[in-house]
Amino acid sequence: MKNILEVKHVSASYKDGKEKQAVLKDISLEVRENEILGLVGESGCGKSTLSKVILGFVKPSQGEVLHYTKMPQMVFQDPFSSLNPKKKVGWILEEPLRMQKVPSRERKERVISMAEKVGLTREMLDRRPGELSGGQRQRVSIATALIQGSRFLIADEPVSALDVTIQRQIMELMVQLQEETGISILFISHDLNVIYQMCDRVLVMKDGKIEEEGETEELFENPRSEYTKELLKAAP
Amino acid sequence: MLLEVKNLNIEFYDTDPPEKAVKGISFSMEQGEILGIVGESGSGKTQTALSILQLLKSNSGISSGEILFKGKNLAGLSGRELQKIRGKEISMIFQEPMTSLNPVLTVGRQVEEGLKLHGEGFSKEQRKAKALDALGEAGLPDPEGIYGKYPHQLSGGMRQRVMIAAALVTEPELLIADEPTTALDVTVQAQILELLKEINAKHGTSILFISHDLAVIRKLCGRVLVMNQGVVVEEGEVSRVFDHPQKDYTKKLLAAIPDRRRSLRKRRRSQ
Amino acid sequence: MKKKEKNYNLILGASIALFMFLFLMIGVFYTPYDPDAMSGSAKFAPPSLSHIFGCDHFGRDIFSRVLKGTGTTFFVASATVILGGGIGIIVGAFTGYFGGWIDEVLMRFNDAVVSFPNILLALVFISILGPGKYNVILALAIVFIPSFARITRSEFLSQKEMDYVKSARLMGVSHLRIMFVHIFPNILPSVLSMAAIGFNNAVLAEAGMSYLGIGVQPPDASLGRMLSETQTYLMNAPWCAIFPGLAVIGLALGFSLLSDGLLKKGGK
Repeated sequence: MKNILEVKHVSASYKDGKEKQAVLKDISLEVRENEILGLVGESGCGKSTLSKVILGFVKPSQGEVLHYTKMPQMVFQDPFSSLNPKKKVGWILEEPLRMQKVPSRERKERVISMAEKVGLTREMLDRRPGELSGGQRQRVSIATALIQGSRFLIADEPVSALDVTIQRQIMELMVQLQEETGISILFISHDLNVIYQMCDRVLVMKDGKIEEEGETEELFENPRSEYTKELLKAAP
Repeated sequence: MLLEVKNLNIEFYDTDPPEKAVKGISFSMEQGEILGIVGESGSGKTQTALSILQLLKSNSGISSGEILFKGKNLAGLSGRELQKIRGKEISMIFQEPMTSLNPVLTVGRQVEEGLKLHGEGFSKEQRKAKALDALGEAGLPDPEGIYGKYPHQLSGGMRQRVMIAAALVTEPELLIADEPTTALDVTVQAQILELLKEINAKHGTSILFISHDLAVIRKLCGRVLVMNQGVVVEEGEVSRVFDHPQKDYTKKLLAAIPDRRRSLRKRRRSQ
Repeated sequence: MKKKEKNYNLILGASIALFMFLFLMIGVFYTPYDPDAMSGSAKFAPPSLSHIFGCDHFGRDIFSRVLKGTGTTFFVASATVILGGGIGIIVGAFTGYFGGWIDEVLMRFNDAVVSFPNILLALVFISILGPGKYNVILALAIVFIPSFARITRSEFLSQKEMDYVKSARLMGVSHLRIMFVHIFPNILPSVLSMAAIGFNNAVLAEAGMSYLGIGVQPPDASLGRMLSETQTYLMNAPWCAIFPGLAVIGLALGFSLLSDGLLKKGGK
């Protein structure tokens, strides 16, 4: 299988006052075509920084990030901050197409068909994000990412802020969309069970390093690292 | 009977007409019991918990019903009468250990606060000794060292332990815990749940545990109320409710919990 | 379900502001008398049916002069806000959004300007530029830039950290479009409220400067000037000062309430 992203020996640090705090320590990974790759770790392990490095929001101090496709799109954790509160959903979905100079009529058609795909009604396109539930907002985020035809999606804790029943729906939606379109998803989560249910491969991160990597079933059944074992034991 | 809630109704007043957050729920708690209330957002579980000590925000209130704590109706008490019960006989811990501690006071001061308000003439030394005991009991290593520290010098898990110490220093009979582990990492969450169990076993402190997380409820509680849209959908022993749910809503909720038994991936399932 | 709470500040403020606006618009097209025409016989005439606000020490019709004067004050205040606010918002948007050394330099400069009282600084500019309507506008606009820039900057600072901005970046939206199409609508309530406060201050500053004789020059009628000219007759002919005073209060109160109301609306 071809890789669509390679991260090679990346280190990154934040300035904390005068001291430099290393957040990523020599991270290497690849994301393959047509897979959901899980990235699991506890708070402060550097998983969010890693996604920022991949997206170019944070410059790595060492190493390189190689993209083999268009820039990835992102689905954020907090559905309340990831959509512009002053814009209508339809406008938000159209914006990337506007940037690609798609003519107005085609934009409208594509927005409607994409909305259908993610389970949003036409009437919701005329609402503002504040008038939608958390789950609906996350559907809008997913639609915004997919409408651009990106083949690679980074999802940073996309279901953590949702109620379980809604969480389930969004997980099913993401799996279904992935299987239909064959895109790749880097799925970041602190929840091992969510990772288990969604991902083909898993990376376990701790203190800015990759602790363990493997096929999902293999890793959950025969964890090698002590840390993974501890995580699995603590998870309900 | 330690706590008995009868036909409790809670309304939000800032909408027209008033929106009912809790619609006539009733439940009771025995001494020494750990009772869980589980529900999704909008279920009314947090409103229920807050109403017991009249901590509801000003845009909402109890419109009818009784909250009997050892036979006394808390819903009818004045602020001053309630103050004697708050933090003394009933304590509460919250989700955010960051915001529920005062950032400019030392841990020691905050743990002792309850004793100052309710302490029957404890001397300064006695208060400190009790606070150190409570910190130790909350599983904090080196209570002496932590006593003089400020909240921002502690990790999230340690702050939640400080909260627990502050809540338990007055030896309350009932501890209300509103999503106390939600903001914590799984490994820390597991430790805090263990700690609550220990406290319950050792002192017989009753715990009313509010959570959206069914797995956490299952680990900790003896009995559970499942709430949805302001009503109690199902109630019973945790093992019964989880293994043989009677109501559709409970079934749906249980089916939605991510577990490690079945993957959502067709590709992996077919392997 | 509707929010019960009514925004009384907004309703009352908007009503007063609208009333004052309609009042001065009348003055643009029609005044009962020539506001500058003097009449020896009407000197200090008290309010009556023919002169409803009475006449001043030159026998000029106060109602006509208040109509015109409110217009002048409004014009000066609006122009100040548009000029000073416009520049301030653009400066604040760029410094807040991009940060870096430009931000540092401009904000330190801002701090320096802010450390002087507004009115004092405006007096300095007037003493350089000389008095007159347009110079007052220019002086006040310069003085107002920092406060607009500062508030806009802090709004942009907090908005640019929102995920929707990152999301727009990933879509390939240009910085300028993000600033003015994506972010700006979100800070509009505070910008409007800021503009209303600015307007308010400009009204008072203009009145103050004209009162001191360095603002709007005769023959232009100005509320501040009317107050200063008639203060000596306050005991004998109070109407000479009361009506221009009421007009200043109307303008200031209306826009002050409006600003509170807008902030409250934005806060929801």
